[in-house]
Amino acid sequence: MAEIAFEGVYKRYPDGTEAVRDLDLTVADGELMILVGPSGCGKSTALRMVAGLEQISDGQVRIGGRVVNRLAPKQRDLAMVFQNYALYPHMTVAENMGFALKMARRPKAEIAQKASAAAAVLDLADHLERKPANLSGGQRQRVAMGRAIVREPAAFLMDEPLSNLDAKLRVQMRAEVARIQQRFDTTTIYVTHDQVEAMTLGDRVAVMRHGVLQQVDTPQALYHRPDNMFVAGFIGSPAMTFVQGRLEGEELVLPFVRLPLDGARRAQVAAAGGAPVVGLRPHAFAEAAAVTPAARERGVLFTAPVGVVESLGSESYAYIAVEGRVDPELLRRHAGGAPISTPGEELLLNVRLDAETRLRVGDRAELWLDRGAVHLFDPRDGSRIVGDTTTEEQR
Amino acid sequence: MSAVAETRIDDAERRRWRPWRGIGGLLLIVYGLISVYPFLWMVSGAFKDEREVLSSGSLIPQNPTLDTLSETWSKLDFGAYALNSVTVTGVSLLMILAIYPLAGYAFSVLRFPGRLPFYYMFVAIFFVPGVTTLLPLILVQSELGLLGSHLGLELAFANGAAPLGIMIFKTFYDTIPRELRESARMDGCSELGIHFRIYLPLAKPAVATVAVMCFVSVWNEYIVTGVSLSDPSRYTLPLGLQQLLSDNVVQWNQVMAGSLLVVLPVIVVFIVLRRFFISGIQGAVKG
Repeated sequence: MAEIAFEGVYKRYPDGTEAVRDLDLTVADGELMILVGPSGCGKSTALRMVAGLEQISDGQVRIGGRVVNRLAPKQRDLAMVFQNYALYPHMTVAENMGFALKMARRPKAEIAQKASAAAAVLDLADHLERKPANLSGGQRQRVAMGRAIVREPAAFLMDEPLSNLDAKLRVQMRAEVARIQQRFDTTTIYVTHDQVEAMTLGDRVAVMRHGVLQQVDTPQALYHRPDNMFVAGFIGSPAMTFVQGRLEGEELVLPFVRLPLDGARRAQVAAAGGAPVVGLRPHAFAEAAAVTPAARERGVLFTAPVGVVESLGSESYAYIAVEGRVDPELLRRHAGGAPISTPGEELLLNVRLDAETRLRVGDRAELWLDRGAVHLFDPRDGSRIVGDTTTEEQR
Repeated sequence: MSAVAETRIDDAERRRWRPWRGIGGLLLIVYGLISVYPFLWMVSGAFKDEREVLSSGSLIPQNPTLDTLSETWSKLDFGAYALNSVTVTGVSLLMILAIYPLAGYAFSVLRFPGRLPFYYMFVAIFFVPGVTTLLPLILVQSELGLLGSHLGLELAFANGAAPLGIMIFKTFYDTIPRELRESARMDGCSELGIHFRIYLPLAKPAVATVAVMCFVSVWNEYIVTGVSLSDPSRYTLPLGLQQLLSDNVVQWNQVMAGSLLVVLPVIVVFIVLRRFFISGIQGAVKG
């Protein structure tokens, strides 16, 4: 049991690139912290610095209050689960799980007892004498987890532990990881590039980009109040669409809809230059006919032609072509990606519809946009001006 | 699924008659017979008597006899030579298998200045003809007072295996995912522990490959041994065999019997380690 703290941590490579920059992050005792971000964002490097597999260029990492910068991996009392599991191919499941204890010269009886206890938790009891080559992907993954559990370490470090599993198994194992982490109540740092995994698993989620920590918060807070365009675009599935907006009198004008703004907001937007980037999640929309009169008050209505309709069974999503494309260079800089490219000034806005929607390609849809669910960002640095203000009961 | 289908098509394709395939096969068969004939002649000669070995070109002895083998065994003092050969080969192999897995591990896994230049230097030794180092080798042996001793030979042979040993172990270790080493470090292994507990047990094919190749070359070594050793009591089998040729009248059936006895262990070792040996070569090539 231990708290893990990054204090101004840097990772610089000899060629001058900085994989991690000035990372300050504290993982509370017993917490499951997710490090998430696109590939190359420094999340794995940060984890490996905790593990002791990478040198720390600057700053400090503390585990349970103790600075570990100069400690060898084995002195840090951590267990790591690797993406490819890193099981020892020539050892049986039991030997794999007991290896760390054997290295620590613990008595044979204790090793055997702990390995079989872990196997029982992980439903591996029948496979203790098998070699990794004879196990399925899910079983190998569980052995890797078992190897970590058996050691009863101060913390678990998990580096994309589910990425090598197929989609269905990944969802199952995701629940398994959560169950094990709660059961042992062990501090865990979990690295993933999959924002769904991050959202469903984490107590808190740390979003990283280009080696810089963008925001740390609970999944709900990241979703509703992202600090900047990058976090807004990265968290949430399907992703948020960005539209170029403009302050005009008392209203925020988008090419397809006009949103009234209250005085305080107007001042904030004006202070940020008056031309904010507007972030719209698919869930901010609904078909006008399906909205209750009370809710209608909270939003605005508009019509637009429907492009593609995708049905997921429980709900449907439509892409509607609207004007108001944000400068692609600005998007790349602040959000890390350009929108789906369309000719001219149009962009594809992703909106959520009911599963039973009758809308088809080419129809003109009458849509409702929740005013409170509109995110506004400063185009100069991508930071948040206004986040989602809908209250719990309104959702 | 698709792999299975493809294999079937391949098989059908292979079974279909093509004239050039037939001609190619025929040529290969002829070449194979020519290659293997001297070996078979040696085997059959070992079971012929003195007259027949010179008169008959047939591979099947008319009066097969074991007398030739037993006569050669006693005439040659085979036991003593064999013991020398076993000693020299065994000690050389022990040294080779003690040193080069570690060297290969260092070149594959550790990061140190000059890693690649050193590695390529060792590999380059491959292309140096052995004879060119014969004289320096003998001089070094005599400087060290090891000339004519088994230890002088063993050190030379162990050293001579450096390019092969280092290359095979390095390329094999290169194929082991680095996470295995990292995982072992987290589990509390030292660098040596990682090598002996994780890497070496996985490297059985590489061990077998190096063992077979070095066994064959040391067991059969003639030139260095011949120049270095002067005391016949220390002779190894290939040198002992030469004694049979130095008689006034060479008894070819006995030469053949002696050759067969010398070659036999090599064949046995190869058969025993064949499975590992082949996968080791494949691993090295793939790496």
